[in-house]
Amino acid sequence: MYNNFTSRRRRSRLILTTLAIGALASSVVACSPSAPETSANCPDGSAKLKVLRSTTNVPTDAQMADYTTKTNGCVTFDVTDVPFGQYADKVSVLSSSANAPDIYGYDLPETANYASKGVLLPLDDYLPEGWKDDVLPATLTEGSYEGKVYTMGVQQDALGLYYNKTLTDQAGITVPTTLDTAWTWEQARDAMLKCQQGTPGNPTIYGLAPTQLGSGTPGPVYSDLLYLRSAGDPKAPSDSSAYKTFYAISPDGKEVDGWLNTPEAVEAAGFYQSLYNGDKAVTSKTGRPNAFLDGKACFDMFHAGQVQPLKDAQVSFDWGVAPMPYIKTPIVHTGAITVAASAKSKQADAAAEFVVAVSTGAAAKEYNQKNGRLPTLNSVYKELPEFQEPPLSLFYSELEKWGQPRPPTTHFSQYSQIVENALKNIAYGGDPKDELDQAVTKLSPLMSR
Amino acid sequence: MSSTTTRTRLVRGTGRKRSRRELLVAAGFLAPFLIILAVFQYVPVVLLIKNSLLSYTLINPDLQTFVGLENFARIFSDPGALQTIGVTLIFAVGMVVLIIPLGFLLATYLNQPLPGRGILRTAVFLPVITSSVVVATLWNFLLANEGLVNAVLNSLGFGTASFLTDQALALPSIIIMSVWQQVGMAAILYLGGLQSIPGDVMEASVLDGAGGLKRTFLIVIPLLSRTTVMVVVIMTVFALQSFTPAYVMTKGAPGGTTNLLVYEIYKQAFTLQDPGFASALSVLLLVGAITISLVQMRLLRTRWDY
Repeated sequence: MYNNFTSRRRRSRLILTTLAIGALASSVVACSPSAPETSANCPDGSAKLKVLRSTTNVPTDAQMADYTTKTNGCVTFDVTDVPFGQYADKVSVLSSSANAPDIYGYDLPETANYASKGVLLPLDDYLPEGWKDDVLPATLTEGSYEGKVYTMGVQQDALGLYYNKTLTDQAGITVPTTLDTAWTWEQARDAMLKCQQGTPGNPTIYGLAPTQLGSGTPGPVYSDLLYLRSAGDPKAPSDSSAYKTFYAISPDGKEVDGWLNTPEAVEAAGFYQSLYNGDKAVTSKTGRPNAFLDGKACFDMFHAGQVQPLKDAQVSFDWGVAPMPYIKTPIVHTGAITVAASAKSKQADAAAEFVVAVSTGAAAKEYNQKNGRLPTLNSVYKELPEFQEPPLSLFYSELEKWGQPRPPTTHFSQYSQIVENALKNIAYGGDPKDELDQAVTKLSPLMSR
Repeated sequence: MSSTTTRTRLVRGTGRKRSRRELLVAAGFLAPFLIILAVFQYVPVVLLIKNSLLSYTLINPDLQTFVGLENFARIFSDPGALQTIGVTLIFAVGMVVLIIPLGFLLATYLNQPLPGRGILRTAVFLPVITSSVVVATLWNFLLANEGLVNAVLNSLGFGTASFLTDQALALPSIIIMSVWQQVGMAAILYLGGLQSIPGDVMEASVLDGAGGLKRTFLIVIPLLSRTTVMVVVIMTVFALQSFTPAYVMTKGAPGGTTNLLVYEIYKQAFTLQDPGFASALSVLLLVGAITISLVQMRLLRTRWDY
């Protein structure tokens, strides 16, 4: 009887111990970093990469499909699309979660922001030999943080002033098409007024098309901060107001007071406001998508990405691209949507290798060629003759000669949002000085954190 | 005597056992819902209060600093936050003030024996069940400088009005849009109230010689006071929680005049990376909404029953 009882106890102990060891072993296996599964087709292992991208942007479906084919199906993708305007918000939520993506397709000026917070994986160990000598300096600067490269850039962008040649010819306007003959904004506004048809503020043909950039309303930093920055002078002494106006943020990216709200910036903001209000208004405060494509605008500020749609649409008018107007110093903002790997990826090697693959060689060339987006690599640029001819050559020249990154800071999301609101309010009739001062007041505590 | 006592004890014991069993069964049935309620309602509120005492970012939530009531103090020293609170209160008052009479009038109209009454009622209620984003986008097109409303104004010889970009017009415009969307809800609630007024009361008032206006003001409106309380509270809470008009139509512009509180909370948390401050604003909204609702219920408490 005693023996029976003891053996039963032993047996149940044995079962419990086995179960405990089993549970422990399975939890250890479950918690350990997932090793790539190997197979005959995928001797180096297979991976399914989670991608967070803004809708219709890089990495494109074609890029991912090509990469899957190239890797014999060993690397596949699980894509989440987010509207461009909500992308930064989504990254802030997902990047710290257990479900962080492996690949981000984000706007290049956010690199310092994401890298400083440990969101992105440094790519230095994966960079192909000679890449740093081949890439555009603007891309290398914007894609790096504290000496490390976090993204290689798939494309670059610069704004140009598209013009409806049929309308400008009718108005007797000769539009400059080289950088050295570029208009000042006063000259450009006069031409826009001359070409515009109907009442300023409510025209039948706009002098300048309502913006399609950002949320489709006035204010995007990418385009509208250029008015203010172009009123500055990078060759002026570094403690001068003109110098600070040009950079719009201190070199350490932490100070905006005295950089964003200088007298030159306020005056330029007053000019910017006049484009939307009063007798000399040439554009509209409320959006009208595709006004230029529809032949309802004489001019349109947009990046090189509009060349291909204009060709595809076979519009009924002649068109061309002029260099961006300026107030004192010509300037265009660099940076476009790019691809990077997540620092939290459990498949870091596969993610980084994908980033390198789409940012270099044949994949980069194919993307730039098909989509008419400016290459970031000189080697690709040389192989694509269309970028050496108008209109795309003009964008590339602007990029090389006038290109400046958007104000570099680890708080770019906040900077972008607050400055955009200030510019929007100025366009809607707010006092330029008050609005810029308020933006500085809001930004200063955030940027010093 | 002792057998009676024993029987009583047995009965009591059985009763206690039964009531305990019934309690257990009831608890068993209620538990899933109570757990869900706690997990999805009360735990988040507790976390919200905790977060309102911290300074951190969503990208790096582990780097938290305890700041006590600093986030709450900031609300009352930040002109932007104060403007947002003011705008939200004006939005709520504007909505309630317009919706109550319009809802009542619509309900009175729909309570009559009209041809196609069902279709009319559906039409009035349709905007309520339409997605707010769809409604906001529709009104965005209507109110744009080149939109339908301005086209009508221009054809009548008036100038173009910048409904969504003029500081004086933007807030009234989104109030009108929200009233248009929600008036159907008020009308349906009032319709229910009208249909539950006892017929004999109305009949007696007719026999007493009360005219239409007298009946409306002295009988119908007082008897609908319970419905009015409900409509006022629902619409106020809805207005305080409103987000879509600011997000879809104006982005809080021009000059922050349409920057509703929930939109500001969203911006602070996700775009400006200050979820601690956003949590403090949320706590303020929660407490504010409860307080305003209690005050409304107290002020509008009914003195009639039927």
